[in-house]
Amino acid sequence: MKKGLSDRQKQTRSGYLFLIFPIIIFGIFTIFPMFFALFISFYDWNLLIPDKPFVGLANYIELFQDEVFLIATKNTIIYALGVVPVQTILSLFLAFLMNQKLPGRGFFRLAFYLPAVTASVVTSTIFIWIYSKPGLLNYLLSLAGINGTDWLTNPNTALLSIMALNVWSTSGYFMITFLAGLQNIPASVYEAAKIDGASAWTQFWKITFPLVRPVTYFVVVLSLIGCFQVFDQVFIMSQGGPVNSTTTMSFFVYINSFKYFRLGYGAASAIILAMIIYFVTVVQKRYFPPEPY
Amino acid sequence: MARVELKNINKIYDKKVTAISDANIVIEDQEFAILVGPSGCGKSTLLRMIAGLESITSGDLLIDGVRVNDLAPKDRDIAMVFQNYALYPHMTVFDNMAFGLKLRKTPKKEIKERVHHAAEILGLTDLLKRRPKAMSGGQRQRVAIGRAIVRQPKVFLFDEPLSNLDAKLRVQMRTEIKRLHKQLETTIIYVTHDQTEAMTMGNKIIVLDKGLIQQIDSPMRLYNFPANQFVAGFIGSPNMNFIEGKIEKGNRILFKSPDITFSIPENLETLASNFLNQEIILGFRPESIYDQNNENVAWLTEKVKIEIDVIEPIGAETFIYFQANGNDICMRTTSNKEYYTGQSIHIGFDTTRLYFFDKKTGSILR
Amino acid sequence: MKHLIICIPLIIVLALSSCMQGEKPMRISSWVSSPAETKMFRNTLDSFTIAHPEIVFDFEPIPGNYSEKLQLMLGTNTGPDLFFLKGYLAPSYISFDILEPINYYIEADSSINLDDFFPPLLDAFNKDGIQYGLPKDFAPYVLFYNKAMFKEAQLDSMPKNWEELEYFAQQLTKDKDNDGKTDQFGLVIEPSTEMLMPFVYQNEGSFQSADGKLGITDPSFIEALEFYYGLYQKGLATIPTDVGQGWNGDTFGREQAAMCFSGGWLIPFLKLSYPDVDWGVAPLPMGKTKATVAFTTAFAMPKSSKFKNDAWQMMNYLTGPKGMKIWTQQGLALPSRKSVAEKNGFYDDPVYSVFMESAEYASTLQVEISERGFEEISVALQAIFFTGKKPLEAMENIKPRIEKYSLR
Repeated sequence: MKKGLSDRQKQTRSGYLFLIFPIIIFGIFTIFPMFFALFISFYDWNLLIPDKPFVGLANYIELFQDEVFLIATKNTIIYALGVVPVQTILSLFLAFLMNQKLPGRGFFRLAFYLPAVTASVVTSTIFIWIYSKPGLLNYLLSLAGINGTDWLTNPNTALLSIMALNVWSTSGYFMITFLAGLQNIPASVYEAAKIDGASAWTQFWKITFPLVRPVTYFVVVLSLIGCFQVFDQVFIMSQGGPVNSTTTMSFFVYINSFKYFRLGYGAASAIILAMIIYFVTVVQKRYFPPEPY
Repeated sequence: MARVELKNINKIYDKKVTAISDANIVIEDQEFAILVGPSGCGKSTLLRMIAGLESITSGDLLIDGVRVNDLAPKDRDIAMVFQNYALYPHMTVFDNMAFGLKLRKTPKKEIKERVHHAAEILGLTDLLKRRPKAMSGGQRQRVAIGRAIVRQPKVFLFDEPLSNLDAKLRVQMRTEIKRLHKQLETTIIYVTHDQTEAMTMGNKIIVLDKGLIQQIDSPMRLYNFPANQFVAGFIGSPNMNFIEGKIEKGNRILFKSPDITFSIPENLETLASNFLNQEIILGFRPESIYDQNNENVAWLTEKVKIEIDVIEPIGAETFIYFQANGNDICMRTTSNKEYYTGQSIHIGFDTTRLYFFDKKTGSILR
Repeated sequence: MKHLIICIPLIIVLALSSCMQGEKPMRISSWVSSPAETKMFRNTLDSFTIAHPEIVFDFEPIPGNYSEKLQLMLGTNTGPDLFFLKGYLAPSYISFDILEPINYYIEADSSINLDDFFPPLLDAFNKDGIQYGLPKDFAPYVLFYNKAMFKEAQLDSMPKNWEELEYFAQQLTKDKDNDGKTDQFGLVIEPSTEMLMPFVYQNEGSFQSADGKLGITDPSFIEALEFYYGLYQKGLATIPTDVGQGWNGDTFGREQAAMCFSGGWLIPFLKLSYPDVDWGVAPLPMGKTKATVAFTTAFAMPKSSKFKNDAWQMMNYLTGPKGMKIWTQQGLALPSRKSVAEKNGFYDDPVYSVFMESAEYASTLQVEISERGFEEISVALQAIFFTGKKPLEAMENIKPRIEKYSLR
């Protein structure tokens, strides 16, 4: 007599069956490409040339001699160093403000969060106009007597302009994240601090900031990863120019892989980018752990 | 000197909800004052107004004769111990206690002295480097108290500090706080919903209900001379018994109710005659009911026959429950006699311990 | 059991939908640059169907990044059977060995007259004697000028050489409202390789010589570059982004500049978007010699096509006298066959005759460098225009990088 499956076993089987589709999809579209990229980074793999010889580390060596790649790395690092601290502090500060009982709170929460949910293509396009020589930004500056430049074609300001756009558009998302963290701090701790004599400023630095540390960690990690992967704005607003000043590593990967079709070379640069992101995250976890106490 | 005065204090939210209505309280220097009442009576609100965490809608709050309504909490020279301790979770015990002093730019040496002194008093010396996460509830509570002590404030405010502790610890801490009070020679204002806590700890008790002060008195006076039915029923455990009845005149003046009827004793005749033919509430404490079969005492009312419902033999005393007029009546006796359910006994009431309350207002009738 | 019941219909649906793919006919693709152009092309295709009703095909225009999408399709063997191929990318594509040589078809067809094509245009798609496509049209750079502004500046002739160009530009650069900022520029130029090259050729320089050597640091090249950049430096020429425009067409159309260098594509654009501008065309002023750059596009077919014969028929028709006549009717682009130009009055029309004349001395910017190489040159020009880097320095810097991307 063959025994049927027990209820428990049937449930487990159902569970796995439900998981099969997501696992397959995840495997095909995420795991496989990752390993394939690693694989082809050791080949001279051009989509249009049938000959795809194994070249070992040649791609990687070429990368380190490629001026544009080095510029891209430098740009990406500047980008991350500039955006992450500003974004983190700004969104924490905004969340702190939003947590107070100020008038018009609801409206401001919406206003700050809206850029985060607007498609990056849309915000990028709008800002092309704002940043142009006769654009809105220069108009506002002219009211203060400052003569603005063409922000996106000036190699000194193009990257900063895109960084500013990024801070504006994602701070809202992190603000919401911080808000959730803030609301986890019991009000009585603030009251005790008030009685102890802490001003709003002291309360922020000595209580809010330390207690919100797990969230800060999360925000910094996400912000870093986002910075290393910045692509949309570069693609739409500046195409890496002028003079490669806005070429970031992810943009470099795209161009070499899907414009010049040197997939092996592009893959190698992507692998290096991935390693850098991983390394940074590990360092952060080690030296700035999320537990405040 | 730390005399706290509340004059006609009102607290109204959104111009609609009245939390505190015309409160007038005087707390003398070094008094241990207790704000007690059921949930939602406004005791915490009152305490927070004294602390400065809630605004005062109208009225005057004076500390040492100075009107402090508009002063920030830190300028009122008060310290507060919260129900959930409100310790700074990311700081050590030492830093928790030192925080307020550091903000006032107190010299390091003095901070160290004060913190160590308070730690000694509270038995926290070995825990100074610990974080709140690594301590028990009782230890955390002591740190919260320590934080208040180092401030050397004029007034200590306690907001139900023992509610989160287990029963045994609560009893222990009660004694400790009382001891502290003597040691520190300071004014304490203490909020609790537990009337036992109130009775055992304070020397001035303020009973609140629905935002109104019901009575301000010492524990024993509250117990023996309640101002109204609410206080009478709130103070004392088990609660005072209440039955409704009518004052009637027959041969003598009677208290008449369906199950319990007896002649009004002499000492109460004059009072009762003012309320002839009126419905009143009669109150009497469990310990004021006596088994007539046992005692034959002059100051008992005449016998009333009752049937025993439930018996709770505690050991040193026995609680006997019976029904009267549809109410549960609790009787306390210290006799060793064994009672049983269904037993009929004759009881009498201590004539010196009977209370009459107005049926409508609940005020005591004197 | 329940799971199978759900899975079976899914599998059936999937199987059916893949079966229904069926046999697809031949596919021809173009890029999408303007609705007018696409419509014109459809008209031309319709006339082909009338002439060859037996050939069935699907027209699949590719919007967006044409070159990238096309290469992706070709690389995965899903490319169209006939497609537009830009002249300056031909060397790249040829080097990938994905284009089908058409010598065989040409030789088999006696009615074809290759001499009718303007030689430089045909050569653009030829390597080492093997022909890979036939040019369907061309567009040379000419000088567009604003008649009203010229009149106002009392200029009644065209600049004939570089000195005159500079002089005219000076006369046409004005600060109309005296606020210290120029409101009207004599010229609008773009920091792009294509727009620079006419000057290089006019100065007898070159981008890359026949033997593959880069000429970008030669004195003739640098001189031309310095002249070109000099116009911007001196404030006589502006670049589109400086006045908030995307390209010189908009700048010229909005009358922010009196002259610009552009091709035939500007004409329908002005008609549609800036109909009030009174414009005219003239040949480019000459340097040491006459020269201009012409852009040409050919039809090409991939090696992997299954419809080579049909594709050849179509290519032949569309670049033949009949097809080309219809395609070039609106003057969007100019015929690459002399006979078509003569027969359809291109030499008589006041505007188009200028274009046709320019064809005589036009070069097609054929360089054997990969796409990345072109990108690097752009970067160097950006460095000159946006950071004021010295032309010679910029070119010397970029030379080794471009040599790396040479196709030789």
